[in-house]
Amino acid sequence: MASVQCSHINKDFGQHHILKDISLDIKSGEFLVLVGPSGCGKSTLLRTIAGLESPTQGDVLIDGKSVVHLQPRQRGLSMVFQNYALYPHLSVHQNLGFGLNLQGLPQVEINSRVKEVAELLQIQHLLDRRPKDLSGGQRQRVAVGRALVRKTDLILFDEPLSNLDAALRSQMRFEIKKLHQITGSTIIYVTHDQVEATTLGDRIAVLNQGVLEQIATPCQIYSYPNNRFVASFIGTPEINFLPGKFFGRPEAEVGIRPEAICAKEDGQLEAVVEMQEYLGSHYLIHARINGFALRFISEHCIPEGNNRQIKLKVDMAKLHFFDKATGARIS
Amino acid sequence: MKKLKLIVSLIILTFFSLFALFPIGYIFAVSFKNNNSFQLSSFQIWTDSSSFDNYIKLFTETQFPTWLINSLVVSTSVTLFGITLAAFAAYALSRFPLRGGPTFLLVLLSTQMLPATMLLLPFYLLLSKFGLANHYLGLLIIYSSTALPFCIWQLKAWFDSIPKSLEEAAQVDGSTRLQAFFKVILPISGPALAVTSLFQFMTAWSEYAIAAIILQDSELFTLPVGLKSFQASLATEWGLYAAAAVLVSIPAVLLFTLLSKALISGLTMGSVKG
Repeated sequence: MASVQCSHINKDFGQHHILKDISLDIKSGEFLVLVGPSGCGKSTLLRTIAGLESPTQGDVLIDGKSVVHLQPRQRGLSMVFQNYALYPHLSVHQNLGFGLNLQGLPQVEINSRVKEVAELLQIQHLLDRRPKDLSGGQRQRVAVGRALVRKTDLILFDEPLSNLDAALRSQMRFEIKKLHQITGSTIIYVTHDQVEATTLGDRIAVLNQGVLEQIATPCQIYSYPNNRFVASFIGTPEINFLPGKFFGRPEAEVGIRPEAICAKEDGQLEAVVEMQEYLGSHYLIHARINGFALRFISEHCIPEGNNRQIKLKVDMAKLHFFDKATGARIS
Repeated sequence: MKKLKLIVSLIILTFFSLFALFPIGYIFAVSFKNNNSFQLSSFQIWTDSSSFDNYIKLFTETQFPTWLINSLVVSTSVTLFGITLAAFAAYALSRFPLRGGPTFLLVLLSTQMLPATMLLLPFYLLLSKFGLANHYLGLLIIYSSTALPFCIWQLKAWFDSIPKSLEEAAQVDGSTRLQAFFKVILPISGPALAVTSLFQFMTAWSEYAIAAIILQDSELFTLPVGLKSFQASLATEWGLYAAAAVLVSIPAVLLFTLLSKALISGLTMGSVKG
């Protein structure tokens, strides 16, 4: 298994500064998820690690060795692309064996490894088909198979589930996690979906506008977000922000997760219900408190519906405070 | 009303089909006549007096076989040479950010706006200076270079439509950039290569003006130049001329038939993504 270090990576595209001094240390065998909104630079960082982009400044080390001047083929990694990038003129078997052929392995060995991976991903019956004859989910499996078959110590995933429907995405998420447990390879996984990030990653790196905002376990990120952006990006439904004066700071904000609020007769805050959304297992209640919007989760529907005055109780232990000007967490 | 529309359409289509097919039938009919007449008393392709004499004479008493081989050699060489150059140039222009790339492409295209006849004299003088007049190599250089801009544009449009991630996947899988080009990009570029090759081949196969200036030795003539020699000042051998015209069209027809599947997808290339 491979460890990866990114040291002060900067990347410019013309006038645009895409990656801003990013340093990361990914442990051997770790599943690290790079997450952030579109255009934050997460795919660029992944492609820089893969060798498909060169950093303007900084270094990439795999197993302690600088690889920044090496071609992608010399880095000993495999990659699953967002659009799968399957070779359209080759069968599934040939797609899987493409990299092994280039390594010059004997055909018997190639066939055996292709068969092994095909069984693992349950695509044995598709080996003679061309990519155009496969469904989205099947193509995705072949793309994963092509990365697994070379048995590299480092596998990169670039938003591999973004083209799948919700049900298939959930199933593949589970399977990718399982594959990580089986292979033990180091995985760097890019997504803009925070649910994917929190369910898959051993650790999550949150990026925003080319800056690494926080890297920590999903639980730490959710419970102790470094700043306002991380707090708002991770968590569904989104965290509530209310302005106020806290810790002697005139310009501050308090962040309250929706599950930290509940409607109680003895609540401290008075609110007006604006709308209620039924989400199956619970309701998402939209309320207004002193003119500020607030969302919270309730197991039950609020009787007598909208415009009703209710009292809310907040779990004070779960409040997050942020500086309004910088967005930094106030401890 | 619908039926009337259909009948009118059929009449128009039949008329224009006959109009297009008539010269072909006519040339066939003349090629089977022995009296060396260009006029036909009746429009019958095969009559009692028809024979293959002109075809036999063409192969036994004229230099037609030599010209045929010359044309095949020149056209095939031009196609292979031109398509190789065009494929590499188009790929480079499609994938590598070159300073002034778009301007270069426009300049390249603007060379197609100059009529070939305007360039005849400079071409001849240039080739004479390098000792390439009356030489296949001279013809090869001119044909390849004049067709190259269009071929580069054609192939570049195709390469632009291929996702870069395919080569990137190949590179991550262990191939060099060149291997990715040969193992992934070229094999999926069949339709574009077919259209471009056909264009190159047909340009060289049917070109007359440049070949007539460059080639003086009848042993070196290509078919269009050789065929012209049947038109003598006193008498034109119309039977031979027609038989040769029929034979000259065969490679083109064969190529179109062989490449028809690739051509159809190639002619619509770039119109649909993926």
